[in-house]
Amino acid sequence: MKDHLALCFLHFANSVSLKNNNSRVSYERDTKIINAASFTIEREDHTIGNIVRMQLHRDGNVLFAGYKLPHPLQYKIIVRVHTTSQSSPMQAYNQAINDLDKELDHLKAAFEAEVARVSGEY
Amino acid sequence: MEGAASYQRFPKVKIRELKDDYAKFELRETDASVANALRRVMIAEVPTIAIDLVEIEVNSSVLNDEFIAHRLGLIPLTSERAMSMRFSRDCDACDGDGQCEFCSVEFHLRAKCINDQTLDVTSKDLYSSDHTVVPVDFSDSGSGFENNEDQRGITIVKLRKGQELRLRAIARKGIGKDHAKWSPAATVTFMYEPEIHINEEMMETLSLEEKTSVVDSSPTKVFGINPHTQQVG
Repeated sequence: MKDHLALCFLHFANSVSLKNNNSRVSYERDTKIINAASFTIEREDHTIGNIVRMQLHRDGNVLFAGYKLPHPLQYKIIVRVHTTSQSSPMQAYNQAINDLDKELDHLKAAFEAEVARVSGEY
Repeated sequence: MEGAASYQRFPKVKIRELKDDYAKFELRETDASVANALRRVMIAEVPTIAIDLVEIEVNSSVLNDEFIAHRLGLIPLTSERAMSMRFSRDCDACDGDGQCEFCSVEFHLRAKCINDQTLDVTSKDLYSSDHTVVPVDFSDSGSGFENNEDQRGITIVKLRKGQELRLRAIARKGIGKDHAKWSPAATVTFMYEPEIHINEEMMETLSLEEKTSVVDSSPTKVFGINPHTQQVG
């Protein structure tokens, strides 16, 4: 009698693996307003949503930028962008992402240099 | 597409304090959204290793199997290897059942109380298959923890005479978003720091008594008074 054998699964894999779904960002143009679009980003939340929104606000051609988490159980965000006719939502979005990417690369390098400096002092 | 003005920023970092388990730094020339993203990532998205799967062979302790499995999960493990490890759900070498070296670390625990004294089963009784992934030893970090001789490891369960615990545990890589046991941080906070400018011209017009009352108006003694020049700074 295998009386004391128990398997305990602590981890419930509720994070459904979307491994085969290759694209994480989808783009949908607004049908009524020109230069307006929504980007749906899968498997992201406020962490990314808020920095993308704030970066879009820095762009003078962006008339509106906002994000929402449609439902707390749905692991995705929707970023909505309106721009002037000088730009386009896709251009503004790409620029925001590129600038953030470079900013964070810089931040990483700056932090590592600072850690090296501080730990060298001791 | 490019050619438009760049809105990139170059944040400045200055570390004020750096210890083994504590860091405090200034972040300039960016905004709160970046600081908050950094905070959220540190809490919930930095991968660590924690016990995730427990197979209990013998458990005659007073705690039930699930309770012990949960306690094992909460034991902090050294996670330098986490970045080079695979998530078991992305592992091709196994079916994600935690049997391969790329996505899992195996632990064994065997303990039996044979005398009248209560036996404390602690994190020191866990034997790891990988010497780089072991329960975190707090005894040499020095800060906060009482370093008594009897303080050895983290208590998992206490055994009375005749009771026994035998199990196999599998640790996996994970993130704090899945379960807080994978969160590497105790707390992460940020705040704006005020920058105080004293109007020197106006300050000069005040009498010493008035200057003293300005200095005393701060409950945390932010200002001081120079005894020689009688300047507030």
